[in-house]
Amino acid sequence: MSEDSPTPSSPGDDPSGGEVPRLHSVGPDTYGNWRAIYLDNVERVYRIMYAHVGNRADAEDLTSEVFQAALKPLRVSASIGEVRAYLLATARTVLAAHWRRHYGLEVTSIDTEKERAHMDEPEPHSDASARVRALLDQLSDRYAEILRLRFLESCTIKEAARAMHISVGNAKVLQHRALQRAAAIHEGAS
Amino acid sequence: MSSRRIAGFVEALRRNRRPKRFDAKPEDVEAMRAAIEMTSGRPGATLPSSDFINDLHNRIAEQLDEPTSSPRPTSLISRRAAIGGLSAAAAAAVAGAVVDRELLRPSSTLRVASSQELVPDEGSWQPVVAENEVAPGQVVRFTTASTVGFVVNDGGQLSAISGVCTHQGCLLRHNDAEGRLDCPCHRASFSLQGDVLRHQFPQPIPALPHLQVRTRDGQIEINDARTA
Repeated sequence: MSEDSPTPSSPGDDPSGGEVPRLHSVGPDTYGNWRAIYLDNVERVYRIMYAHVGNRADAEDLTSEVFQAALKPLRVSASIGEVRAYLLATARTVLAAHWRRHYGLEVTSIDTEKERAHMDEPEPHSDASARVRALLDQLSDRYAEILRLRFLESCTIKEAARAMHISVGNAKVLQHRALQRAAAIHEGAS
Repeated sequence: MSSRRIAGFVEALRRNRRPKRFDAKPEDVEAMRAAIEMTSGRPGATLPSSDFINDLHNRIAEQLDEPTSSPRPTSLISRRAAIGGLSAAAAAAVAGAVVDRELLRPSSTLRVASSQELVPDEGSWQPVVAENEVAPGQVVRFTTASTVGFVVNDGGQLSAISGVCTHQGCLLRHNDAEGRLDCPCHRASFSLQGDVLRHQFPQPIPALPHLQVRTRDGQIEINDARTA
């Protein structure tokens, strides 16, 4: 399978190449149809994409790409676990292609093992808020303040500068250094 | 220059917009990654809109050669399913979801929801501000782990509304001089009762959802289901 291919081999295919059973019972661990697959997983996939691109437009495009690539070859007789693993594998290759296509290198990537565990939780949740709070707690007061104002309070750079009683130029520099510091902390933690 | 590229990238993420594409350098990557991490930490940022869920459903149905003009299987899909099992109040508050919109209805027939009281079916009451800090006529912004909103004291009558724009999920700001809530992204404005005052979009946008509010032991509390 090519790394860029958004269509890994479909669950339900017989890996041995032998005859695939034609009839399947629909048990409690399978989906009845593509709609059930879609509705149970669209938010899960979107959350993963958003957490890796940070904006709605890209998250929507990439989520769309995942389902449009994955649903056709998917067999609804595949187990829920197989379906989610397949969606995740597709999401990983779609995201990798997105970064290489638009930015030339991979900025974020999906850790399929970690995300797989999240996907199986009965109600998908995001622990991003808690992660960000923990990250801010590890920064100096000024670094934490500029990032809090810009990202959590959605302040413009001028508003953030005014709130911190510094010039716009200094706010830009502070933001850049704060991001670098946050990245270093994040890198050390992962 | 790296800092200029990153500044543009950050500004786009702050506005919840697609960043301009550029050839990233290795030294850009860590800061870009940190900016993405920070952005996804905003309450409710990672929830998809119901419009998106509906539209993508219709596109996939067309792709799979299923007629989209047939009645949608609305009975299969509850509002809870579409918002991932969150309570309607919390999800609407954080994502601007339209809670009385039938899911999977073709977008051409979508109508705008009227503002309504959302009754959480789970969750717990969360103190957000001391009662004496919201005098009559005052508006106070609050955040919890999952919700951003405003408590409004209108002549002694307390109410709470979502602080998230129903267009694209940007965080609203209180415009004290004009007595309204403004969206910094696309200049929509809402009244302190949550009604849409103005917008620049071809299609109308929903009013802000109301949250349950009460006072207890000198604290104003809202029901914040996601922290339960």
